[in-house]
This record gives sequence, structure tokens and C-alpha cells, in this order.
Amino acid sequence: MKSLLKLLMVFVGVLLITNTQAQNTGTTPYAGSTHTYTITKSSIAGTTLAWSTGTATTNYNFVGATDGASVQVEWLVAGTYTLQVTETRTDLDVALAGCPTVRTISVTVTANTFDVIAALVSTTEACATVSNPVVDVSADGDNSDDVFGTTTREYTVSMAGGDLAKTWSFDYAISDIATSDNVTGVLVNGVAALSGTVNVPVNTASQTITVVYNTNKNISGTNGQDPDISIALTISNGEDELGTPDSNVANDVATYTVNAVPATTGITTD
Amino acid sequence: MKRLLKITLVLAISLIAFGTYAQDATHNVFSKHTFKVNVTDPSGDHTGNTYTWTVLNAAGTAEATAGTFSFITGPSAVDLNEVEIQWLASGDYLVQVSEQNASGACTTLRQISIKVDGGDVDLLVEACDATGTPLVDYTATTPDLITLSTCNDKSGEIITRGSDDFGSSVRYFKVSMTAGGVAWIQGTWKFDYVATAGTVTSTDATVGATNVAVALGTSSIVLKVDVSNTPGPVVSESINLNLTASAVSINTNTGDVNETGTVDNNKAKDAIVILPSPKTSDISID
Repeated sequence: MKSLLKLLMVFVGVLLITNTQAQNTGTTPYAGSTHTYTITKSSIAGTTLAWSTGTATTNYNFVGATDGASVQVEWLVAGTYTLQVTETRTDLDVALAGCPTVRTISVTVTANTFDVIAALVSTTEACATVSNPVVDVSADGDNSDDVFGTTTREYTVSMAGGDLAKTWSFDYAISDIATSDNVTGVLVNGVAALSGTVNVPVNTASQTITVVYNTNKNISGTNGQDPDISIALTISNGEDELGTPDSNVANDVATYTVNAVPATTGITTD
Repeated sequence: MKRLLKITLVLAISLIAFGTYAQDATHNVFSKHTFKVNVTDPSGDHTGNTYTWTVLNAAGTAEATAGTFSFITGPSAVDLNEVEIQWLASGDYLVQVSEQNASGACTTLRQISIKVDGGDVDLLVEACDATGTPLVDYTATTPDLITLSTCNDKSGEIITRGSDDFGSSVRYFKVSMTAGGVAWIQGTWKFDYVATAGTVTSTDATVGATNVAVALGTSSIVLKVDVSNTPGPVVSESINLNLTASAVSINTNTGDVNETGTVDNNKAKDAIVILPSPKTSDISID
């Protein structure tokens, strides 16, 4: 009996989660998103199309032309609106006003909850990674060709409050490990670029960004000694495929503090 | 002297001719009329007298041909000082009444001459608006036929979302009946009809699937035709709507009399044209 009750609770929980999944669709868009609305014209050769909303222009923007079979609307303010298209014949006497056909669709714009969040995966402050014991390659007491290994830090960039059925994207930038800290061999997601754009496919709520650099290969430090490093991931321009913008920029930066490990030289002897 | 004689003769002949052909009243064919005597003193000295009414030929030499008239009331009874007659054919007649006293010994004759004008039983169908006003004034030098072509009734209205129901349009036809050139209100009338499209109804008459029956006292009716719209895709899908009447008849005291006038006007001279709107699809979203 208890098992059955548990099963039921799980089922109800799943249902609730499913129902609370927001849908950023043409009829229930988020404020700030741009949606495409389409009709198929009649086959009467001489007709014109006109799209309108009947609401103040502060509530929406038409993106592009408003006389085609499709129209793009950027919804700006939460509320309920009616988008209308009128197809009018041009082959009739003016007095007949073109015998228009009118189609409408009700659009309920909700507040934008789409949020792109940068977060740390591991402890905020920790030591850099070193491959102990460090092998003294040339046995010369110099670190120049010795390998201290690599230090890795992972971030997640996740999306909340959006529509999982839509792709989303963001720009990222890692600072300022390679410039002010003179660290070598920095790779972000395997690529030697400190900034870029990530496009996230549908049904994917989070993305991992990995920063790797060669430990104690500092180009200006004595014997390659790294300084203590702050590695910050900053994301920007988060949006879904409909142009819905990131609604909260307060959580767009995540920073690790990496404490340097000593760049101890190889042991020499007399 | 001869000249004076001639003038006198011409004058005399003219007077005779006038006297011969002058009528006491002129009635329309198929009209009904009441004839009375002793109006000012219907009882009094006349009580119990027998009245016998007859319709004679113009010369008064014989009864008028059967079928040219009909007694609605009468023609003979005690104290029957009033009858109603319906004329069924044009011509000149004498309506005569014979009043015989109760003893049967004494009789008085009175006559009145009636001219019955000719004319057809004729039905007219016109495209009209909801109030029965014709859409086209055909008496104009150049009738404006553009008034017959109008957008369908759903035009400009919102098509229900998720639906391809383009609605229907309502148009009207006025049907008028005349007999002898006069609006026919003295009997019922009926006709069969065929509409090129739609469903026909009326608040003015009883409308069946193919026929219409109009009650006594109504000379014209408005028929409402409800037609499903045919939206695009091509301009040629305009609906040409007309209504044709046939088997037209009026009901007289002796039975139905079929239409005798032209049948060309048994349908609207020009059809009503219902213009289709574009068959725009529903709005789809991303």
C-alpha cells in the first residue's frame, strides 16, 4: 500500500513538473521574444495582406514587412493581444472594399522568466593541480621543460524559466587568466579561445564550460611560477531561438580562485 | 338648312353613342365588389321581399356568359338587398336586381352597368433588400447593376480560429402578384420556385421546399435566401443567385386562375452576385 502511495506521489510530481514547463510559443510568448505567424494566401491572384494588432505600438514591434504571408512580431509587454491578418481583393470595384477575409489569433504575452545562469561546479577556492611528483625532465634543476600537469576548472551555464523545446545560446568570456596572469596553454572547451558563442540544442538545460591551463608555465613568473589566479566566466547575450533575452544578468558571472602550487625546481646535487 | 340638319344629326348620334357606352362604374378583372339596394331603408317597406340578382350582357338581352363572373354571396333570397360579385373576365355587363314583394304580385327591376377592364394575372420577381426595396431601378436610363454585386456577408468578419467555416450570405427577392394591373389582395395566390442556390424562407408567406403559398390580403412578399459562402480560391466562384417562379396562380371564387401574363419576369431580370472572399488559411505559429 505504501509502495502504491509513493508511486502515485511520484506520478503526481512528474505531472506537476511537466505542467509547469513554460512554453514560449506564438500564442503564449514571453515578453521580449519574437515569433513568426504565417498564413497561406488564397489563390486569387489579386489580393493584398495586412497584419495588425490593434494595440499600442509600445506593446510590440513588427520585425520586417507586414504585408506578407508571414509576419514577425516582437512582443514587448505582458498582456493579451489579438493579432489579425486581412486578405483583401484588389480586383473589385472600390466600393466593395475588397471583400476581405479576416483571420485572428489571440496572443497572451507573459513576463519573461528566461534566465541564463553561470555557476561553479567545484569549490570556489582551491589549489591548482600538479602532477606530483614532478618529473625533472632534464635533471638540470630548471623547470623550463618539466611538466607540472594541467589545472582544470569546470563551469555550468544553465537555463531556467525558459522553454526547453527551444534552442538557446550565449556568449562567454574567460578573464583574465591568459592576459594579466600570463598563463600558457589555456584551452576553453578544448579550444585556445577565451571567448566565443555556445549554441545549445533543444531539451538541454545546461552546458559545461571547461578551462584548462598548464600549471606553473607562467611566462613571466620565476621558474614558471603561477600567481594565485581568479578565473571568471562571464556570459552575455543569453537568448533563446526566439530572441527572448536573459531576464537576470545578476547571475551571469562565476569566479574560481585558484591558489598557486609552488613551482619547485628539480632537485640537483653536487 | 341641310347643314343645320347634319350638325343636329351628328350631335344626336354622339349623344346616343355616349348614352350607349357610358358605364356606371369600371371594375378590374378579378376584383370583388358589393352591390346594394335599399341602403337607406333596407327594412321598412321592403321586409320580406325577395331579391333576385343577375348579371346580364351589356345589352341586357341575356345572362352574361358563365365563367365571366361569380356570385360570392347571393344571388337570390328573401331580404337579400346586398350581394358580392367577383369579375372573372373583361367586358361590359349589367348587374340587375329584381325585388318582388311578399305576395309575389309586384316586381321592380334595377340595373347598373359595369365595365370590367382586362388585364393579366402576372407575377414579378425582383432582387431586393431586406425591406423589399428593389436593388435595381430598371426605369432609369442606364440601370445601375453594380448594386447586385456585393461581398458575401462574412466578408470583413473574423473567421473562427481553427475553422474554415466561411459562413453564409442572406439575399432577398420580392415577389409581387397583380391581376388586371392591380395588386392582388382579394384572394390567396401561390407558385412553385427554384432558387439557383441556398435555402428559401419568408415571414410573409408559407414556404415549402419548392412552393410558396400567400394568404389573402397580401400582394407582395419578400423571400429570404440563405446561401453558404464559397470562399476563393478563384474569382469565378462568385455565386450567381436567382429565383424562378412557375405554376403561378391566384385563387378566385370559382377556383385557381393560372398566370396569363408574361413569364419573363418570373425571375429577377439580373441575378444577384455574391462575391467570394479570399480563402485565407488559419494563422499558424512557430
